[in-house]
This record gives sequence, structure tokens and C-alpha cells, in this order.
Amino acid sequence: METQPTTRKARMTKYLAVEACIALVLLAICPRVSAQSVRTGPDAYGDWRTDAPGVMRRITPADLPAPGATPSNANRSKVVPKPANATLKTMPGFSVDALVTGMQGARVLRVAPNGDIFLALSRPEGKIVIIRTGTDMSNPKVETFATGLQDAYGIAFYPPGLDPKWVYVGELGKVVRFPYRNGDLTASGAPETIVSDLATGGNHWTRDVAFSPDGKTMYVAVGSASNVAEQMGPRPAAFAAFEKTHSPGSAWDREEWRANVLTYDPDGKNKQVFASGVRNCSGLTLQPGTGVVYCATNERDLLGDNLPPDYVAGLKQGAFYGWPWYYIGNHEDTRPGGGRRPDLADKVTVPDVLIQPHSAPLGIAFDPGGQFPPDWKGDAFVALHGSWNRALRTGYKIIRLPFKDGKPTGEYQDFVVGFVADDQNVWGRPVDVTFAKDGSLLFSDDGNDVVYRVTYKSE
Amino acid sequence: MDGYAPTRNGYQNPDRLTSDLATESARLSERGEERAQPKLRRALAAIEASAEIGIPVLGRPPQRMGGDREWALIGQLFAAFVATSLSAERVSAASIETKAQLCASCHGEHGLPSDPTVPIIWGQQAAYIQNQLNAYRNGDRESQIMSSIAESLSDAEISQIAAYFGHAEWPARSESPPSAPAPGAITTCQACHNANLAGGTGPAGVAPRLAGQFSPYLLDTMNAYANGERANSEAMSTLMQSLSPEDRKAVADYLASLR
Repeated sequence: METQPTTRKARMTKYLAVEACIALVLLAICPRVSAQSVRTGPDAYGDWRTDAPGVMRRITPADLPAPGATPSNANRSKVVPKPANATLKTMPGFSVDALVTGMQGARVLRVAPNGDIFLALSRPEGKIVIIRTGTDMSNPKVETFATGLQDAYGIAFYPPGLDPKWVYVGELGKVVRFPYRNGDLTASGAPETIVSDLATGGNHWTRDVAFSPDGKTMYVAVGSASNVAEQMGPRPAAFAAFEKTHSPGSAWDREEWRANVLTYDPDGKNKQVFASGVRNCSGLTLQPGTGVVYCATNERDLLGDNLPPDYVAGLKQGAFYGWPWYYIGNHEDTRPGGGRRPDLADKVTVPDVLIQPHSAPLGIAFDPGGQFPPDWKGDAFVALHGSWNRALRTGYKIIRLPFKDGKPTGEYQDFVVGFVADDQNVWGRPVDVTFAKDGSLLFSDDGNDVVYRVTYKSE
Repeated sequence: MDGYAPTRNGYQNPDRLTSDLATESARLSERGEERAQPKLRRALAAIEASAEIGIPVLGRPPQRMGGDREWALIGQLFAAFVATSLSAERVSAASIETKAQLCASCHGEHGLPSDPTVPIIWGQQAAYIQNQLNAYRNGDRESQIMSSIAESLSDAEISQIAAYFGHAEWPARSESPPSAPAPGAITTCQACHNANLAGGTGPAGVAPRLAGQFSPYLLDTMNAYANGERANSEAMSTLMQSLSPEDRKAVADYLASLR
């Protein structure tokens, strides 16, 4: 054995040589694992030009800029036909293809136990269609399941499990259900109204619906009417009683029973607020195994380009997420009418995964495994509809949220990008994600009315 | 303060005058009253020529004013406008220009949107702009972008922004579509939107200017009224339902071709 080097320089050289050897060995045994750098702090924000498949980000509450740090921008995107040379980009081993086209207003996607793909065509059609495919998801055919459903949105099968008897649909002002058996391609009966008094009007019209695994609880997500309740009047007279029935942090006037996730019994009785202060939970899903309710949530506008982050949260029952008086924990917004709420400052739950501001997360689904890489089983995927309130566009992509031991790590990864053609024009706007029976990922685009499918082949 | 045409039958655009005077008095009060006199004299002259203005402080305008009465009237006018138009807030002209910058992102830096599904608002009827901003603010109209923006505006700001854009000049279109013969259905529009389709007060309230508006925007709007997506004018909903899609297209194209 050589003697220990005595000079400092010699020791450093030996140290570096050993490090280099270790690095080479690691690279040799883990060919698919590259050094995954995570963009953090100000680097995590970026815009569409710095999106790329595989880019990982982590935004934390400490990374929030001050309100008005940038002026507010209205940068409405224009949906154009797919440019001739445009392609969607995804990570190595994956491919993206259009499954069906011409689905006007394609929004919520849910897969029935028998593999049939339910799709809500929300506006202007107001109908639910079924996409049925052959082996290997070839040869898709589209049938109309039900029509006459204004703003048709959330779709949920009941009872949960392999043998549903109804399919529930969230629509304008109500939740209805249709009789359904595996294999039905069209509704066999008229819709029955289960909830008749869902709030209507104003900004946020999507009403997603989901059931707890034991089938005892129906969750309905209702977004706020306004941006931040600036026109809200003084608080209700018997305020303590109001907070008891509506849950602490709930707003009033036009915002009553809004900006929350509600629970009902499957027959529509026993309305409760499950979590409040959730500005617009557009996509609602339950984590397999734990039954935790996850929301893809749209936070507020007109505070600046990089404020506040949108988010994904695993909701805690009885928790308050801030809207309208706070966001991302104890960050006060002084715009809401009806008086400030210092009593709530320390009661705001911080969401699990913070997403680039103004991205507009609309849908979320968990990977059940079966096709994507094995260590991705249990990760969540989110569709970002894309921004208007930002000088440089963001969103317009599908992202993956890694989970570890059943909990989100707080990071997320660009998974499918490429819809932004240039600063003005986009050729797609993702809305919802789900997994097909074969484990491939499906997502809807209500810009050009397409359902896309992402498949994976391990090398 | 130009562009008012006192006519024998009354002032041309009473709503516009009211909101313009509100803007003007705000600007002037920022700069000091000693410069108020010439501008308000002109305004008063316009008011004198009309019997139609419903400005509470004046009642019936006197035939001839002199010296002290003039000053008293100016003072009253000032007070009335400051009190009623601005409520408790002093909204400076500078802040309205800042707010209006946000509008420019979609409605065009020089009044011409780059996206023809976004309406031209420069030179639009101020009262119509005011009504629509109110509709977005109170939920009578739904639009993610417009609702968030309108929500952040006070009554005074809405009035001032409406005046700001109403006062601007309708943009020239470098490529206007070629003129086409007026489709038969156009007479229905003229009943409320006036013979020259420049809008104004009419049987169903304040109708917007249509002449020279973008055809895609007009068609989207007509369709939205017909299918219920937009529902803040009963008259328009009924009328658009009775117009066939072909007629709507012909009307939209014709209107876009007008100057």
C-alpha cells in the first residue's frame, strides 16, 4: 500500500480521484438516473420558454414575492390550430398521441370500472360522452351517454368499486345521477336530482364530484364567485352561529357555501363544509389507499406575475386554506370586503405542493401503476390549463408530483409540454387527467378539443 | 372637453358629458381651482344650450348669468360632481391611467386589439362601458378575466375608466373589410343602435357602437346572446334568437366594414 500523502495538495488530489471513481461507478450502475437538479427559489418560477420535460421544481412559502412586485398583466392566450411543425414533448420512453379529436369543450375524464372512458363536454354542449376502444386502446368510438346537462363537469361512479349502479354528474346548480351498469353506452333512465342548491354564477362554474372509498361520503367542490370577494358586504349579524354552520373562515353574501369542498351523503342529505377557504378546487380526487381528498386549486389574480402560487393540497377535514383573507398560510390579502380577519391569521393551513402562479391546475389523478415506471406508482399528475394573468405565459402542460411514503414531496416535474407556440398563441389547453385501464395517461384539451394519450415503453 | 355638439333639441351625449365633467373636475381639483374657470365655462355653455341634462344642482339653466351667480354656479357644480361622482375618494387622473394600462394588454396599446375576438373599446359609448364593467363586477356577465378586473374597481373608478375610454378615438382600421350592401336585418339593429350604428341612448338603454367593431367579436356576442351564454340584455337575447346564424354572420361582416 502506498504511504499516506503528507502534503495538502497531494491529499486533495487523492480525495478528488476517489470521488471521481465513486461517481463513475454510480453512473455505470444507474444509467437512467442523472443528477436531478431541482429549481428552487426565484429559479423555480420561470415561464413557458424554460419549461422542458424532466425539469423539477420546488416552490416554498418562503419564495413568495411581495404583492405588486410586478404590475398585473392581462395576457389572454389565443388558441390557434396546431401549427404544422408543432409537437408535444415528453420524457424519454414516453410518447403522446391524440386518441380522439373533435371533442368540443372536452373537460372531465373518468374511467369506468369496465374501462370505458367518460368525458364531459362542458360548454357549449353540456353532455357526457363515452369513448370505447378496442384492444390496445385502438379504434376509439364515441357514444353519447347523456345530454341536456348545462356545464356538465364532475363524473363519479357509485357505489365505488367494480359494480356501480349510478353515475353522478356535477352540473349547473346541481348534482344529478343516472342509473348505470357496466357496459352501458347510453343513460338508461332520466337523471335524478341529488343536490339541487349548488351555488351558481360568477367566475368559477366547475363542480367536481368524488366518493370516499367506503361509499358513505360524496365530496363536491364549489369554487368562489369572485376573485377575492372585494364587493362582499359586512359580516352576517349572528356571526358566531354563521361560523358554526358554515365552518370558520367561510365567506358570505355571494360567496356563501362557496370556495370550499362540501360533503353530502350519497342521497344528497347532510350537507357539511369539509374544508373552507379553497378558492377554486377545480379537480378533486381521492388518493388510492389512504382516501385523502386531493384538490387541484386555482389561487387568486391581480397580485402580480409571481403571486400567489396555485396549489395541490391533501385536504384536512375542518381545515381553512385562507381564501379570501389569506393565501399560502399567513399572507394577508387586504382587498376582500367585509373587514379583515386577524382571528384567522394563524389558522391557515399551508398546501402541500405549490405550483407556478397563474398556471390554472384544473385536474388531478393518481397513477395506479401498470404501465408507467414502477417507482411512479402513487405519484399524482396534474393538468395546468395555463395563465392569463402573467406577462410571460406559464402552464399549458401536464406535470408529475412525486410522492414518497404516501405523501407529496413538494416538488413537481414538467411531464408533457409544447402547447405554447409563441407569446400570443397556444394550440391546446389541458384540463383533466386520468389513467386508462392499461395504465396509460389520458388528458383532455378544451382548446382544440382533443383527448390525448401518453404511453410508456421501458427500454 | 371637445366634441360636444349642443343641438337645438338638446345635448348629443348627456351620459358622456356627465362622466367627462366628473373626470375633468377631478383633474382640475388636483391642479388647483384657479385654472378651473375657462374649462368649466365651456362646460356650462354646453349645459346652457341643452334642456335635457339631469344635473341635480342646476334645475333649469338660467338664460343669462353674470359675475357672482356664475361663480356660485361653478362652485356648486364643483361640489356636486366631487360629491356625487367621486364619493369619498379622490381618484386622480394619474391612477386611472395606471389602471387603464391593464386594459391595454388585451384591448390594445393604441386601441386596436391584436385578437379580433376582443372588442375595441376606445371611443365606445362610455355609459355602455360603465354598464358592462358593473355587470362583470356583480356577476350579471361572466368572464374570468373581466370579472376579476371589474371586481377590483370602485364605483368612481368604473365611471372614470368608462369616461377615459369613451373619450378616446375609435381606432382606424388599416384593413377594413370591403363594404358590402346592408343586409335586411340591419334595420332591427338601427332601432336601438341608431341609424349610423354608432350607438347611444335608445329604447333599450344605452346601446354600444357597432360600426367598425371586429366581426369575430360581434358574431361571438350575437351567438352568446342567442344561446344564453350572455344574458344581460333581454332585448338582445330575444332578437338574436330570431336571427339565423347566416343573418348574424352577414350583419357582423357588414358592421365591421363600416367606418
